[in-house]
Amino acid sequence: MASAGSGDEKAAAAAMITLISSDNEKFEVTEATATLSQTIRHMIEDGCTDGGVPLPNVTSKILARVIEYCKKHATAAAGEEGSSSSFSDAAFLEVDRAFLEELEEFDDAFLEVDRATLFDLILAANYLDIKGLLNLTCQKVADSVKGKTPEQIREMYNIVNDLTPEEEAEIRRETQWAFE
Amino acid sequence: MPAPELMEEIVEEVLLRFPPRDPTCLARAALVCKRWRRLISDPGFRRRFDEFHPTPKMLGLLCNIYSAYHSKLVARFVSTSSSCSPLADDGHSWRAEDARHGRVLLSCDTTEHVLFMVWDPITGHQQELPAMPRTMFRWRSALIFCAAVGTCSHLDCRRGPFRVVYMGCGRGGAFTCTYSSEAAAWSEPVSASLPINSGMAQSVLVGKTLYFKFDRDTLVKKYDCELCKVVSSIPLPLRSIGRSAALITTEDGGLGCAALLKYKFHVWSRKADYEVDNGWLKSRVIDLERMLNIVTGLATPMDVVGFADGIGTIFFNMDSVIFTIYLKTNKVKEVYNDSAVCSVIPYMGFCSPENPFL
Repeated sequence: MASAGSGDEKAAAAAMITLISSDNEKFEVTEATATLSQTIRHMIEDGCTDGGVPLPNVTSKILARVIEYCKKHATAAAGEEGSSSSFSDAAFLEVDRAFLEELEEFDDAFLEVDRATLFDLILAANYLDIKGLLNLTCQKVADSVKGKTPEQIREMYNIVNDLTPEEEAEIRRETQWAFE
Repeated sequence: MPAPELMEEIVEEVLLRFPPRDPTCLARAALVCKRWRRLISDPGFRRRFDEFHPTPKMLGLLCNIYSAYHSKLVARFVSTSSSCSPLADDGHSWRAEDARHGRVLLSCDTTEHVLFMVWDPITGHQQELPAMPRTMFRWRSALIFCAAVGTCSHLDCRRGPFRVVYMGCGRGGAFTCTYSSEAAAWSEPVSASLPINSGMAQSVLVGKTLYFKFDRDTLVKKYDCELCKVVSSIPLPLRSIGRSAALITTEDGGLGCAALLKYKFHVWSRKADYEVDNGWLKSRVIDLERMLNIVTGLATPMDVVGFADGIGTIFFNMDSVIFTIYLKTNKVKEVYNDSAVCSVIPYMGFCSPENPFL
């Protein structure tokens, strides 16, 4: 039975991926968690994950948060698959709703970060190609701009107004309906 | 600590997620700085924005309501989104004829003329068309569409060229006239086989063909948007459904028809090579009796009053209440309560703001 045992070990080992942050910290994650990132999924498919996946654009602080997100959402994906067969429709819907609510709460809490962290998370989500996380974080920024004046947006995001007064007047004239 | 900078590569990702139903957000963002303005005015961004928010939405409802005071139909605009401005009262009592591709077509009779107004509820822009002489017969109808049918995605063509088809009946019989916004003129009348006395036309656009039918009429007219004339007509699935039927588009974008018969919605899709039912294939029957708890015999008659293309939603009238039924899920919703509503024309839009910088 020794051969079977080593086979299991191999399978378990193969299912773990090591991610290496820009400051050289190593994170062991399951393949299911890691493959929420399309970038890493492609690397796994190409067989280039032996010895760890270096992520030179992501710091350990941000990577830890990204992994936290992926773990939660990977469980969500697995949970959905697992429960569908073992519950009656009504019970399944109940579980499903409760789980979605939990996930939403998780996402809301996850977004309780300062702006600098939020931007770093967007960059990481973009680089790692994690659709759900990119959507979540970018939507947060987009929502924060809703109803704000151009001046307020500039202040919030440290943007210098380089439009000439003429250009500004021109845009205002062309989009007058938006400012009434 | 100064506010962190929004990095170049994520600005677009953020702008893409601006609310599509509120175009003022993007307009304001264009005033933030040169880079944002450039991004927002870029055609590539506009395309991605539209792709990101591809679902058409109902931004408002035009209800033609019978006004006893005017003894005619007068349009009331019910906005269902914050991005639409109300219809300004300019002293005319406009009737809503049609709405498509971001524009609403309004009409109004004077002693000698028929006036037409093209109105954009998002920008509030109004354009009056050259008045047409009134015809011998009182009935008239009109439709509007983007001039680039067949090639345009209609995601943001509210500023592009458009056509208006005017239908009426004079001494020489029924005719159509087509207005071209590029030529800023109406065409000569083209005689058309239309009923001599018709109500308003309800229409759907399928490819380059505008299908329309009049109230009570049992024939569907086929207007070719390139030839600018009515080319043929096809009978409805059943002769008996003239008043209670609406033309619809099916999920695959083809022509369909939905009719109310005894508290049941019957839905057909057009299959020209289909031998029975005049070339219509009945695809489903939706029982409203059970859904709405109608006590048969007590309920007042129900009428189909409109169809929202792009979201597969039919409007119907029962007991002075306008309901919608979403054909995909059969979900019924009450949307408006007024006993005198004769027809409903939904104002649809992708509501990406117009792009004044292009």
